[in-house]
Amino acid sequence: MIFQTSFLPIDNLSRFMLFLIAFLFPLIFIYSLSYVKRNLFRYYFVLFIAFGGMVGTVLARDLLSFYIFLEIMTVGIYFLIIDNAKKESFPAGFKYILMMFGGGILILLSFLLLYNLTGTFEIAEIARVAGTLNKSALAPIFTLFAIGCLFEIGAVPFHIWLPDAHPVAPSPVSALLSGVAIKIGAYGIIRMIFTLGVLSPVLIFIGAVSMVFGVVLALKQTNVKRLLAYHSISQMGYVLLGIGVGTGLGIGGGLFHILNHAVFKALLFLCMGAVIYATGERELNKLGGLGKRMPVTLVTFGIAALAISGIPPLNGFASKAMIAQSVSGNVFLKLAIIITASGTVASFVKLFRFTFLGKLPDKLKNSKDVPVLMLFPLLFLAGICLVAGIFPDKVLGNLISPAVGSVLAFNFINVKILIDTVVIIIFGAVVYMLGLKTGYMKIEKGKSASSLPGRLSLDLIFCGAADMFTRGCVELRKLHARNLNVNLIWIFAALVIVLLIMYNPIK
Amino acid sequence: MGHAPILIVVIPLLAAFLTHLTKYVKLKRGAEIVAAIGMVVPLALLLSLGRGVIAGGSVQYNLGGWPPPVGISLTIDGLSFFFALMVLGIGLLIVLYSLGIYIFARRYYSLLLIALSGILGLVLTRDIFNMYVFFEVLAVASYVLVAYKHKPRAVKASFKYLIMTEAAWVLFLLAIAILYGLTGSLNMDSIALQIDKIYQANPQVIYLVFSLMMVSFGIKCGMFPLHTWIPEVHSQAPTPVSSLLSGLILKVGLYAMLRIFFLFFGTTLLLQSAGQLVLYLGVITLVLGACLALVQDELKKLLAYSSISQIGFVLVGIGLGTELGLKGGLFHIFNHALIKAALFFCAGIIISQIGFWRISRMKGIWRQMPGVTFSFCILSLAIIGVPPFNGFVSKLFILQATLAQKNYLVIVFLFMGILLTAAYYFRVIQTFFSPEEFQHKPDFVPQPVGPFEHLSTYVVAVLCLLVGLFPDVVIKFIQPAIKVLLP
Repeated sequence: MIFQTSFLPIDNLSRFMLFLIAFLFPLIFIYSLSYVKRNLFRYYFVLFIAFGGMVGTVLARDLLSFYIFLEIMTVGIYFLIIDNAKKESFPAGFKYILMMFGGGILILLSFLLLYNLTGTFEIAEIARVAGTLNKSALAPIFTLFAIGCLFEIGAVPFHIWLPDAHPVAPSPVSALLSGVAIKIGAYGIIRMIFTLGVLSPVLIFIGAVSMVFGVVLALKQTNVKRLLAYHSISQMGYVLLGIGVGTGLGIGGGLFHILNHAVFKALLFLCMGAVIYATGERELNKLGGLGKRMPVTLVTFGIAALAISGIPPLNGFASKAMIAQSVSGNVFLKLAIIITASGTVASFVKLFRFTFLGKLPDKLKNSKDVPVLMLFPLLFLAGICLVAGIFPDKVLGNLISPAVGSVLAFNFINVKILIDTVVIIIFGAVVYMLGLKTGYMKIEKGKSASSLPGRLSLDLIFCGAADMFTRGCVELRKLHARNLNVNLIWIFAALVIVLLIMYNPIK
Repeated sequence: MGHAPILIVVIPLLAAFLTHLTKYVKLKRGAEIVAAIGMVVPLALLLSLGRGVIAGGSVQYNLGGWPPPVGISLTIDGLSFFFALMVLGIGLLIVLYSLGIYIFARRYYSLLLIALSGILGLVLTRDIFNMYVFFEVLAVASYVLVAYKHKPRAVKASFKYLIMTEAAWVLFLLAIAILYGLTGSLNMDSIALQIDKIYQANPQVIYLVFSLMMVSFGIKCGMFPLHTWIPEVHSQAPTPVSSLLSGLILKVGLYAMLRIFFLFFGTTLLLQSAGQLVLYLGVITLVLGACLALVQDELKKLLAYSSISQIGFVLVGIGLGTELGLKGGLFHIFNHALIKAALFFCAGIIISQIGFWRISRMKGIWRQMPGVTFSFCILSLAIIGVPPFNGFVSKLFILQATLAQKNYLVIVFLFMGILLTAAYYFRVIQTFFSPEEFQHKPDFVPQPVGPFEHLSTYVVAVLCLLVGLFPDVVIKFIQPAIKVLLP
């Protein structure tokens, strides 16, 4: 066998990730039972392949197996993304698979470089050898690896696949993608920090940029799932920020946020899945007034929205407070956190209002709450949001501290958090008002009021480069001779050139 | 059993003529049975010698009892064994695919057997002129095979193939003539012994010999800029012949390169610069092939350009010349032969059902042909190098070997090559899963596809997974081959 992986977690960190996957996956599976109607065999086949890939990644004892299972997961998720087989599915899936393979090869290269340095793929062995090595030799390898993982996470500037992939994927798949798959990259970075003992300060920067960037773009989205996708970028920015700080508090906060984000973002996607299931619409301007028709979804969505906004006593606040505490010295980062938090509040007010409040469109008169199999995951996850929010120190003590490997204590009941919450709510209201006034947050589809983000889109840069490359290839094909005489001339030219190279007059 | 080496070459040749005689025997599928026997018996003979060869030995057989350098000798060593095994395995696979297709009759099996016997002969022989003769045997049979269906475009492609390959063999013959003039011998081992002395006295002539051979083998294996015959010939040939071309005939050039360059120039400094040349030409080949495959709309042409690109990967492995590089190169030769043969089978099945060659016409075929689509997906994942399939292992070795030499420029291009491979295969896959329905070609009658065609693709898909999970089985066969090249 080229790779070996054990069926037991290697340490508490992988136990933590395994717990996360094992707890989310059954809920998504149950939800899928009613949600997915077509191509059942194909759907469940690739769903379990993706699941196996995720589990394998966090159980991997050596780096090669980590890579192997990562790619298995990637391929599985690709086929899940294109499962709906709509016109937009395929470009989104194509973007996803290419970005993932690109990141994957970077990860593989960093592993091979590590192998050249240490002579082994075993994580435990590498950790032992890395202690004796010069940190300056390890830093570039770590950077290469971290860049690869940023592709997987969907951090800015490698996020372009994420807002495309989520809206086209079936909702349970979006929940899986946002809840678990993008966390694997963060797990990889934490694992590597623990193994090599090096850290890159760039992570803090990328985290902060992703936070602000994600939330600013989320504000102007009109597609419900696209809006949530941009929030995934933003929330993973928090995680990266925590990891980048590198202290026990920071990494602990990051891990806590991984857990919290997995819970509330999966819940959000499943709620929106319920809305889409009931109405068939995913554009905000066609929705509205569903609160009376779908009370359960309304309540669970409300809980998740409060959780992601960081309002106590729901779970989001605990991890955000920890991350905020770990960067408290830095004014810019503090500012980024406040901007992000208030933007999050504003955009969820918008999402909530235009989905559940207001006037019910005539077309949606017959919509009603979804089947029990879909409601159960919603209620369960909402319950977790509440429990983890009310007893954050229990979660911290029993799950996070062992995973980080040091005892973390944090005072979750203090005045500062209360003040922060009030500030965020006020600022959120201000942003919401401003956004509606200026038209930045309007819900009509079409030309965006502010065209600057449209023009400066990174997506455009990546896709433009790819287009240019393809056009270059077309030109190349035109240059490519098909005439036999020309081909024969090429042969003799090649002979002459090879001869010249061999004689090499300079030598 | 002492005659096993010559029997391995002669039995397929004999079977080739016997297939025609099956006309007079009241036997259903007589030609197919003869063809299968004509491959299984040599395979059994080869495997009976396997234990000794894998242990690092070799079996020598002197034709007519004349010892070399006077007589022709056939030798089965690690390298020949690896290639011969591959030839017979892929040959059987091609027969399996052809079983259900009625137009492939006696003449087809006879030509196929002649071609395989040619490859087996040139893989086993240690006489350089004899090698040339077997090259021609292979070439003549394959020209006819390409034009088997008498379609005008296929005949034209076959003509191009004829001219280009003959150009290659003329250059090779010239190189042989120069070497014979210099050394007075045609036996490879005795030439190799003298070549060092000649190099010291007169390096120019060795450069000339090297360049002639390089271009000659380059044409055969599709190295840039000598790859121009590949797309047209591969796309026009009947499906199993495309598999034969891509799976085995391209590899013949690589075999000759490995055998002759390492034997002749292994001790001189020439190998270093030759290796660099092969390495960088390989890099260009792999990127160029991938770029052209990206904008190809004909499925079989796309597969042909993909072959060029994958050969580029192999050339990189060979050009590095280290043990790991050769391991990756040889492994990738094996993987590519297996996978590309089956990919052509898939393309053949699809085209025989819808009548169109263009990828843009193959929208949504997975609903009608789930089996073929499934194996196409597995096979393309394997050739992209997605774990846990076999392509991953060989590409991993090549990457590792390049990194060990700290050649970061080549790494960048390998990276690009892998990404482009993913891009053009996923372009095809996403077309297969498209929601639209495909249309048959007007007035086209879909040909019935039997179980054998599907079976051949499934067999390879399963093999891809097994080899990817247990690569050590194949590496066991590669190790003695490397021992031959790097003693």
